[in-house]
Amino acid sequence: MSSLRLEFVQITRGALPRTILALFVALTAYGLWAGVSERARWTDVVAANRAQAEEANAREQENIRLSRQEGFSPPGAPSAQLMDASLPPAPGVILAQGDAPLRPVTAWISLFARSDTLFRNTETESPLAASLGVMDLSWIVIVLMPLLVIALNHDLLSGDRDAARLGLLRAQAGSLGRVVVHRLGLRFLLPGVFVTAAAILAMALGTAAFVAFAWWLIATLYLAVWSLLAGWIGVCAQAARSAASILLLAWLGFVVVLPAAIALGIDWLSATQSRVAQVVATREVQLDLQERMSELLDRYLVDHPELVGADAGGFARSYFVAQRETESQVAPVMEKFAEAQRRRARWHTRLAWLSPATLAYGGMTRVAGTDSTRHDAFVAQAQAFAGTWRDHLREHLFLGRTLTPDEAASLPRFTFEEPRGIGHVSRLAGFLALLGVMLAVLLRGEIMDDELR
Amino acid sequence: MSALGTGAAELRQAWRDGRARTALFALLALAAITLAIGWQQQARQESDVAQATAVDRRLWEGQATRNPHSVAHFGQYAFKPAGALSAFDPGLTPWLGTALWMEAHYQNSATYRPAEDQRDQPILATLSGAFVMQILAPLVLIFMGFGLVARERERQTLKLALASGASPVAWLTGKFLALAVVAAILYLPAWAPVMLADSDDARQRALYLALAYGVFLLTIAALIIAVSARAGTARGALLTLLGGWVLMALVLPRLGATFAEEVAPSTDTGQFWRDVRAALEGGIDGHSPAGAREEALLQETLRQYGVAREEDLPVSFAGISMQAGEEHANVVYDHFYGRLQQDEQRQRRVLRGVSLLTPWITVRSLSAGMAGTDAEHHWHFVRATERYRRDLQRYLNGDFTQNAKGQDFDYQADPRLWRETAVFSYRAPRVGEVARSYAPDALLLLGWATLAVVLMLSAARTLGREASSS
Amino acid sequence: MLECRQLAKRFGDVVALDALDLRVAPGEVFCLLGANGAGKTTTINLFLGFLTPSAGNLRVDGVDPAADPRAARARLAYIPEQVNLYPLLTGLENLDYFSSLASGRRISEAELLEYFTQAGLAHEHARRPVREYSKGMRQKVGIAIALAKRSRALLLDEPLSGLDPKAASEFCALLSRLRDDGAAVMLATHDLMRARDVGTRVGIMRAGRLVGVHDTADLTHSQLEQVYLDLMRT
Repeated sequence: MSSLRLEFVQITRGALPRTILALFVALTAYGLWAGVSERARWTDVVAANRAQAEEANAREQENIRLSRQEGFSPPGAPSAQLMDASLPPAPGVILAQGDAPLRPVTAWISLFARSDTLFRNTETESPLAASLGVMDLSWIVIVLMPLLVIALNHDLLSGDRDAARLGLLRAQAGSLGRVVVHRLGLRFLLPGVFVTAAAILAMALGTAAFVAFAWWLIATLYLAVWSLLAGWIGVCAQAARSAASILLLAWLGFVVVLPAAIALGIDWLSATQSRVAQVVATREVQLDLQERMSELLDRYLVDHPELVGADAGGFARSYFVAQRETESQVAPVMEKFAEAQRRRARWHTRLAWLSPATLAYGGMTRVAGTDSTRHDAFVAQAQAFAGTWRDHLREHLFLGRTLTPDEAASLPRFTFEEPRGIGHVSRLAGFLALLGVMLAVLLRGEIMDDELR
Repeated sequence: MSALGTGAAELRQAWRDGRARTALFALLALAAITLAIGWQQQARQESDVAQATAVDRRLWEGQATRNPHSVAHFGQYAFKPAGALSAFDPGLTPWLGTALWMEAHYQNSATYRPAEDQRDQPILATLSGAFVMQILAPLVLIFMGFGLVARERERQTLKLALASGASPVAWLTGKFLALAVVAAILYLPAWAPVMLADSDDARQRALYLALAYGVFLLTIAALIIAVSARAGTARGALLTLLGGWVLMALVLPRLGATFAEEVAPSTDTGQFWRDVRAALEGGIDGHSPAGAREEALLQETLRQYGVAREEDLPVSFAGISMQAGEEHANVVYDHFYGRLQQDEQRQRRVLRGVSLLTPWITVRSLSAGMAGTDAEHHWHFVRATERYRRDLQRYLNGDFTQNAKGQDFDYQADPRLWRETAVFSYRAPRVGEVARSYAPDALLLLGWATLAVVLMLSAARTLGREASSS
Repeated sequence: MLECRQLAKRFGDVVALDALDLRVAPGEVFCLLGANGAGKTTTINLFLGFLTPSAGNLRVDGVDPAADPRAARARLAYIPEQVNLYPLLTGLENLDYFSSLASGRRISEAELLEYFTQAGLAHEHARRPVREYSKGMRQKVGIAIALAKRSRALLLDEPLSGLDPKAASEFCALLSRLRDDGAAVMLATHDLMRARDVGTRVGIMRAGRLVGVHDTADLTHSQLEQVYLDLMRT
């Protein structure tokens, strides 16, 4: 009987191993379902917002044709035009939801949109579910699958030691090294199968191949590190129970305590800037501007000679100028906030290397596009689109022109460009691979030792 | 040997185990660090809120002569204070907005959720006093308690102990008492809020919080003893307890959250505002009176004042129509925000159902509730700000109505009009005002405690049968 | 086949073996007798290459186990005191697995059943899970594993402990067959009577030293017992 068959028989005939495997099959299926549901929700939200924008645009075209006024502004008024800038579902959301559900996916762009208030009034979702967290595939891989690895490998040799089989095993095999390597390899296959199946199914369900591969690579390397650690402890420990205790403590430390401690440490070293200060600064600017409105308007027209012949009167023009000036004056406050966030991100990058779990989770959400990186790119692109929108309609506003139906139809639309970059993934994979090699060296040292202990 | 004797013997062994001492002290040290950082953060937040509130009020009062409706649009900001015990349990704070703009026509939602600004979401949670008590303390109890009975069974000393005539219930109670003493040590951090409370309400909340954690840890201790008593081996006991902890503390709450979202889905923001706008557009929008409602209001106003034309009114109809628009909007907002609250309440009920499978959801809810950092307290703040906003709009529109006749939006009011408005001063609910809404959670926790004790006693009876059959 | 000269093993200050000289030729059963801690198991572990000697040298069919433990183990079959197998596997599956570890080749089921039978186990037990086996049956599976290895040298560490008289008798009969087939057998045991019956020579160990070696043909049971007790009392 080969080692493969031995492992297969032991797993399939043992009630506990069967139960644990069935549980992980169910968890993997659940993780996929949760990811697919989130992608469906996200798609629906974006589609609804897009439909709203196109519907409003179509109605505006009709109003212009019929000279029908709805609301405060006349039909075709540039100040009344509205468009969405929507973030499509992240390419890997099936595999990792990250904190994407928390972040707004649509900005409403008008002439008056300001970069600091693009996403106002987006907090209506229930915090209860958000606070409890999601159990997506990445969370299952990072938090729960190491437990599967521990269950499979903690008794790699310590189980034979407990059962007083070690002498017979060693006498028959000649060397335990081959036995250990075969067992470890085979026992690693099981979580590997789950992760591979998840990645393949995610691809079949629409995840981009590169994303699925990168996610699979990080997950596999992460579980390989755990397998080697569990194997090393499983070989060294005098009893399977001791091995299980040590490995569970390691899990506790690396997966539960350390990531939470890192988060706390970052909070202490580089606390999130309070938005309260930003709000107050903005209000001070707004109040000051109210008092200097006509002066601002005159100065704006001086700064923009292309608007020769412009009319300086009217609420819309004043408000437009006020918004631009507010944005400009609030920019240093926003930059301070952004710099504080960048500082936090740098601390996170430095400290995350302490915890393979934090690192791997961050990497998975990064490749899936559900960490802050893709959203930051979206915010930047939405702001750029807001600028394009303003440039497109500014002349209309100041020269008192309304849009024709064709002009309304051909207003700019937002298209999101996916950010690129595999550097982070390569570094992460390299680090995990290095950890794996170190553990493999330690393991090798143990199994080369022929002394019976 | 009596229960106390058994317990004392067990504690002596535990104390001599260096690993146990290390684990206890490490946890207490961790709790102290998290509490210290939490207190620092709470103090900073309170200071930021106080400062921002003062500055915003200064800005409000500092507005020069202008139209009251422009003042109404400038509005005021309300900044949510930190929960009474947020240093211990931040609860839902990261997922709830911190600033609310009270302006004309719109009931805005609270903006700027701290979670959105965090670039680095932790895998499980950030360390806090609540995290230490809910997640880590039970783990320490598990590692210290899993073998209390199971190992005795393995060593065959269980048979010896029971064969010597010891009552299984007393013997097992002794084991439980030993673990309860350990739980009491782990429980110490839950008393920190009591000692540091700076008001009667905070102290009362802290006491309830401490009580909840006390019951929780004793429940865990009893469950550990029950499992250890039934397990064939110490390893089996450890694996069962750790598996139970993973399932009940980590997996079930997340599954529960998904289930709650499926049963009572949160309203998507876009859909919410589309629905609100549709309902608002069905009536007066406040700026551009039109439509049948506007006409009906005009006719009624003319009748009320006994005149035939709008120009003959002694007051500004624009003011009347703006206030009518506000009141229509209030009905719309009450309806839709009320629905949001109802959705959350339904989710909370679903989660209560799931807490029949795990006490962690219950203790989490109680802890955040007593700390003042849950959705209930958030809605209390939102309702208070909305009451203030509506009163303010009524006041400003009233002045507009009385004094803007013939000028409407060209009317410039004296700054005293808004300087004399009441200062928005939010008082968080006292624990007595909200205690009722946590009664089901308290009962669930007591239910779990009862179940744990029943399981432990049942295990004791099984031990008795085991001893007599051997 | 099995020989050692001035073999010594120390664990810190504890002398487990001291200047051991012995030789087991093919067709011979050498029984090591002695109290607990006399050094019997240490001797066996040294021949298996599980321990390295502190002094002296030893050979298994010309191979030094300290220098090349794998080669030495390839020439040895070993039956431990407790033959603990994989409880979820059947007797035949355990035999299959342990045999394939040793030989690296696929052994047919017919051949495995043959070894099973030679070891004294009935075919009907072959497909029962080992957790249902008695101690004697597990010992026999251990013998089957040793037989399947087709080694010319066997090391047995207290194989008779815990066996009932019938099982012990069957076991000894099997050992005698192996001896007659030309195997070199070293057997560590407490059972003086069985040692006298199955052994060619007996070696009595005390405190790590071989204090007496006798041909069993020269001693009756009671004489052997007397010699043993005298040597233990000295």
